[in-house]
Amino acid sequence: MRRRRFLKHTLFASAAMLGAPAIGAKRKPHVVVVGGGFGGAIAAKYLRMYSRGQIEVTLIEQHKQFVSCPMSNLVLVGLKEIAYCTQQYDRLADRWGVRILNQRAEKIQGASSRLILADASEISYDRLVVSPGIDLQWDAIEGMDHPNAKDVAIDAWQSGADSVRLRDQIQALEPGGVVAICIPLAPYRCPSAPYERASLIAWYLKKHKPGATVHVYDANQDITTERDLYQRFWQEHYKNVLFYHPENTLVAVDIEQRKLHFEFEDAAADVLNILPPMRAGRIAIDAGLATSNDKWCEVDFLNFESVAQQNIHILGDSIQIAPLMPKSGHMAAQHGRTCAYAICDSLLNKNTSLSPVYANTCFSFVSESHAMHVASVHHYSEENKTMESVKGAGGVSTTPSPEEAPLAVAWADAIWADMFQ
Amino acid sequence: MKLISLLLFFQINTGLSQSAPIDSAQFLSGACISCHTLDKAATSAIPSLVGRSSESILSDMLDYASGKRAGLLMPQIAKGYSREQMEAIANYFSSLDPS
Repeated sequence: MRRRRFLKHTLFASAAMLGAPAIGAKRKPHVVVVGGGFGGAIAAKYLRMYSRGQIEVTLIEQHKQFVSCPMSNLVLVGLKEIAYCTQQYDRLADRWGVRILNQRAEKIQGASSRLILADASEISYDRLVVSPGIDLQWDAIEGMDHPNAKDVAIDAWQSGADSVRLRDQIQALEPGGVVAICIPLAPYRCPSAPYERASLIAWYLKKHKPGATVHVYDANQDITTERDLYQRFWQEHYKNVLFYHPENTLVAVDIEQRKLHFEFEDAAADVLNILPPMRAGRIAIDAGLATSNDKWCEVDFLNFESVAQQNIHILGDSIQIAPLMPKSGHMAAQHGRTCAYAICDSLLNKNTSLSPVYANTCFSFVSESHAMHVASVHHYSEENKTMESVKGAGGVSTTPSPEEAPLAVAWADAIWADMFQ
Repeated sequence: MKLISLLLFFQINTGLSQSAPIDSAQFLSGACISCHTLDKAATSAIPSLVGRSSESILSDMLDYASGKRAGLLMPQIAKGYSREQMEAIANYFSSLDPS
């Protein structure tokens, strides 16, 4: 272990020296980014871009490839292959000089500005950016401790790669089979995605599995976003295929019998797509960064610094959102860009004022050919110290349409390019 | 010594040497490129804004915001920006080299 740690530090030292401006020059500031999703990858790239190489950036990401959750619902129903959603982290290293460590971050030691990795090695930082996504709270559902639970009930909500396993389950359905999707109380990652998933599965079942149905059990009182658009499309196209059950909170599951127990009723299904309650990623929780109800991390929206700990910044789905700010990949990317700008400003003493503006668009497919969107624009309010959505801006599609499907594809291509090119 | 280290820096970081310096217009325009790719050569249903004239970007934004021009998305987005912000964005994209 010691030898390996020594080797790693030696490699780091030589890598750092390669980019050093001159022998004996002042050490460049070092920012460590935990998690290479939409927030973390953008933060890592833009730290290098905005600083013009004057900040060293290390990205800690346990996977060698990025597999996007946005667009992965298309994989579930065979409209796209998983390769379509996959990008290579190497490109951040080659093009932008981000050092990438394919490891899991284990623990944050804020007092000594160190991060402990899964192999027990340590990395010190001047600033830490934590972008760990979400933690799925499986212990909130009785029966999910069954040894086969994770093979039977596949969430496909954290890693797009799980979409392949869930796709195989859906494709193996017998005619007349039943798919159940269980949605937790908001806030959860990606508000529209469970309803997009239900729509696409309904499209697939109608086309390929006569008599099969998809049942949506929603812990919320109603569809949480684009309600009228979903209701209308489901009524017109999936009347005997998709069934929506509001105010149904999943409390227990029988993995062997494939039975779901809600607060007021029970149900059975062949495919169990359970989305449990969610909270900030585990490493943020363990570090005491989840200051809002022990679930979400409160931040300063001008630099995404934790309200609990100096020099630690949190991005993306883990944060306590501002009003009407969705937990989306698109929004996380804008957190990452703002955070990168603010850290450069601070570490390189630029002293510019920052007034962030975010534009967010979430596209959803409701069938093979039709898509729709919800959009919003958010400005920073000096008065209220938070991001506020601009009144009169934003909105939803008039109706799902074939014209929006290529826009959704263009969005994905552009944001993946923004992350990795 | 300085020249040698500078050359070394640009050899190692060819991507970085092409980027514009940190400025507020580049930061503000960051929100646009999640949809409008910087890759001028890419085939996309959402057009790249790289190298377009600042006048045409600004007039499109103003027309979307006022309702003069229809669209699936941009009327909703453009209404969230002030004229000053639109001008900064238009100038930024027009300053980028399309080649």
